[in-house]
Amino acid sequence: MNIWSLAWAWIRFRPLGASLNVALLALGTATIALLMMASQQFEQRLSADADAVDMVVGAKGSPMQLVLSTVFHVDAPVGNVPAKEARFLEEHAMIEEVIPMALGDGFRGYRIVGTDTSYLDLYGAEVAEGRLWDEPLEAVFGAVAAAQTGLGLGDRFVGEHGLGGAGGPTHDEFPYDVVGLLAPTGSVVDRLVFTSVATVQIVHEMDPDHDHDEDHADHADDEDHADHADDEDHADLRPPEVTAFLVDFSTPMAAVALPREINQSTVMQAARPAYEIRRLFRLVGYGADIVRAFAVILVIGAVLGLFTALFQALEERRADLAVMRVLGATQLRLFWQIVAESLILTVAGTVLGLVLAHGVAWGASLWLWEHNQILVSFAWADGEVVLVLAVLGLGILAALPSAVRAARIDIPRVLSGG
Amino acid sequence: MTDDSQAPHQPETAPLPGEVPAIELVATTVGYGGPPVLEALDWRVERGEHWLVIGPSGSGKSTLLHLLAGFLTPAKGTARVLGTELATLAPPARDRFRGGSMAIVFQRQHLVQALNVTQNLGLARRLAGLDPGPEVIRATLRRLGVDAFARTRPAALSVGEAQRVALARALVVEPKILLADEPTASLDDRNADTVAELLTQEAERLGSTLVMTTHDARVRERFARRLVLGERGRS
Repeated sequence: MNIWSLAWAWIRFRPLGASLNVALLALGTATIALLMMASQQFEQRLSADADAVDMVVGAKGSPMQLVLSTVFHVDAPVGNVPAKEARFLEEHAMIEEVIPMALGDGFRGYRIVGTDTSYLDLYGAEVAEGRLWDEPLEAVFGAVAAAQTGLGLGDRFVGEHGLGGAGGPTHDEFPYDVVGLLAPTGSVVDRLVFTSVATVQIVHEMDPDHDHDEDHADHADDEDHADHADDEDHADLRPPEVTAFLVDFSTPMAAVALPREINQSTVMQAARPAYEIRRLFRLVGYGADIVRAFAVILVIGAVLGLFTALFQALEERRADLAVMRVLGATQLRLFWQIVAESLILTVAGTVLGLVLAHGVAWGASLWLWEHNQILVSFAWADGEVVLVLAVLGLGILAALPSAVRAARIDIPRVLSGG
Repeated sequence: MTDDSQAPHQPETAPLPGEVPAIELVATTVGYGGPPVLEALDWRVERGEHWLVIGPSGSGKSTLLHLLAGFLTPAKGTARVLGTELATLAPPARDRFRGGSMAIVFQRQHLVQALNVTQNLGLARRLAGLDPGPEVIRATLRRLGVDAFARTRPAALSVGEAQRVALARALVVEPKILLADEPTASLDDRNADTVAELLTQEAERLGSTLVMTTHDARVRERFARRLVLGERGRS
């Protein structure tokens, strides 16, 4: 009958109260752990998408919107820029690679991206079936887009203005052929439909119904757009306008010098995804902080419950503790006896909470993959070790008043019934 | 007043010359901060002797046991148990000394309710610094006639059964000194007689020194040596 087995016996002696203590601790721990995992997943996914691109260059406007629309594909494009500007970027000594992007249409909620195949290299995407796009009006689907739309190799579809899926106008004259399906990457690529920049140009320049959808609301009035028909560069095969360029630096120095140069000396703006995403985290971080604060309050409430339970149990066990002193237990032994009981409850609550959190995360990841083909990891969040240590520390703290009281018990008074 | 007339239960061997006595109080005064409960008490108990401590309520019978157990320290004089002056020991050492050399039986059984009978005895052995000794535990329960309750929780025992288990818990550590504070006060005649008999028999079997306080006239004849406490514990 050592310190742990006695603590366990005392816990088993009041199963309902102990279960409640454990459940409350588990609930608080699980909530915080889930928040940590979700937050880390969110940040990792956004960071992975953002880190693949050193810089985005597009029409002047909101840099956040430029990044959200061209890197994460969750916002409307800012506008278009002259394709001839690619030459300035391609010839710049600090730039390794320039990838054009032409946006504007979608299919059942999935954005059609006109780009070249080097875009896929940014995210390590590989063809699962078929091949990459080559000719105009050939399309390749990301894994989620393919699964959700149900399209496969050889199928045909027509693009819709904007993101599509809302019953808006369609480009019926220009059906796409599905020539390839990509393997899942866990990145933004999974939710996109790819074609060439030239295809986007063909669809928008030749479609008699095309009246510049909302995504292009700005560029109709853009003076560069008005001018581009007369531009000598229009004579080459390069489409006259694109939505943005994704830029890969050749030197780290470019991160400092290049955005300023582009913003000051061209009609375009440069935005750094890594910077903008940090700004986004700061903005959404306030909401997460509020939820996290509620979870912390939940844990503190559970710890207070544990404190109350231990204190009440101590009053019921004063005779037991006094007898233990009679039998030879030191004050320190009684102190640790109470702490041990609290630790068992806290460890049980923490472990149960973590199992609960990871179980929910695992279930959610299965569900997301099953229904949306979205890859979500339920791996440990970085802060979970700190969470475990913090909850254990609080558990010990909750036991201290009872432990001190147990150690200072007045043996003669208790045993004489006082 | 002490009375050491011949009685049924006496140690078979007389203490060896020069052997340290089990208990030695010299002009011992002890109290709880107010007027002394025991004042200038001299008392010597040899090893293996059985003593009955009697006196009216408030005469200091329980205080004397608390002093011997090391819960209290004398305000004046000295109190030695097995040659050790408990007041000179640091509290943890005093606790270990108590656990390793003596056991106490109370009027109330004070069994740990969360543990079954065997576990209660196991806890006592553990706190006394002994090995778990399952065989010793089984044998002790058998001798006291409570082996049928080995897996029973204290709440399911009658008062008499619980007191025999409490006695088993005291004996299972094979104490050199066995203190009993009114152990029969809450028992009916049959149980009181059984517990008193077991107490004296087992103490004799183990060679333990037995000091028992009581108001109970039913058990007095079992003890030859008596310490009678009067006002402020004067004997």
